[in-house]
Amino acid sequence: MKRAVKSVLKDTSQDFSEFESRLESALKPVSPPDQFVRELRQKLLSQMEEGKRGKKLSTKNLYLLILTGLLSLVLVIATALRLIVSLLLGLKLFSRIRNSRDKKQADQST
Amino acid sequence: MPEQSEDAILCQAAQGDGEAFGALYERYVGRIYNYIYYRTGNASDAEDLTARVFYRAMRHIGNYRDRGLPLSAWLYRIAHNLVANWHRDNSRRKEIPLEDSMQGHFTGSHPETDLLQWEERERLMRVIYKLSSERQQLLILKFVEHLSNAEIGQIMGRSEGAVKSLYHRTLLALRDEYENL
Repeated sequence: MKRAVKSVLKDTSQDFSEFESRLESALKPVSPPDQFVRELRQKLLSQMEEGKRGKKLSTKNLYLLILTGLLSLVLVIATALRLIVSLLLGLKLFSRIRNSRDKKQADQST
Repeated sequence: MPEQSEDAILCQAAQGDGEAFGALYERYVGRIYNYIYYRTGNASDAEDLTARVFYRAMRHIGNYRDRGLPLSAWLYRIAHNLVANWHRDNSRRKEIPLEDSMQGHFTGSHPETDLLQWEERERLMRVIYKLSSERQQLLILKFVEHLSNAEIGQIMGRSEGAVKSLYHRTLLALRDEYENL
């Protein structure tokens, strides 16, 4: 029984080795055309360079955005300060008018 | 960059060094082309998909992390996914065009022998293209790329033993199919 199994295994491995050599000769490596390899390399490198330039531009844009943001913030703060100052001045004027009116009324009553 | 290790070149390429990426490209373009050529069965699609593999690799090389998976395995996986998409888009397996399949297989010394060999090869290729995508991948990596079971396992995401077993089953299926043709 063992001998029979062994012989079957041996046959299978022999068949496989023959079949493997057929596969070996059928699946031979091929070379890509030189022109294709060269052109693709050039395209890849030029796209990589473009990508780099794009990155540099986007860094520049980022700095510009930060600067614009800061300027806008300064503008908002200045407007708010002006509003506060105007309010305070308005209040002062209002109280001055009231005081003068009170004074006038006091003078009239005396 | 002949004296630099692959890790060093990879590091430079990830930082946007074009020359470093070019060196990696030259190292792998032939292998990736071969793989795709045998998976698609024609040279023009092989060129198109090879270009797409390297464009994709270029875009994502900054995200590539060495997690025990060599760069070659990463590239083969990209190629495998693109070929799978290609098969899905084409929805039918293509036969190898005559001029492509005969490429490099004629020695020119004995036309009759060459023709017989070519016919046998055609039969074999027809059977191979009937196999599942996974089994085709295994055969190409083994016979065209001459990779070991361990390397094939890394690419296919399987253990060495699983690759060995799949290989055995593939050969059995292939031989049966070939003999019944």
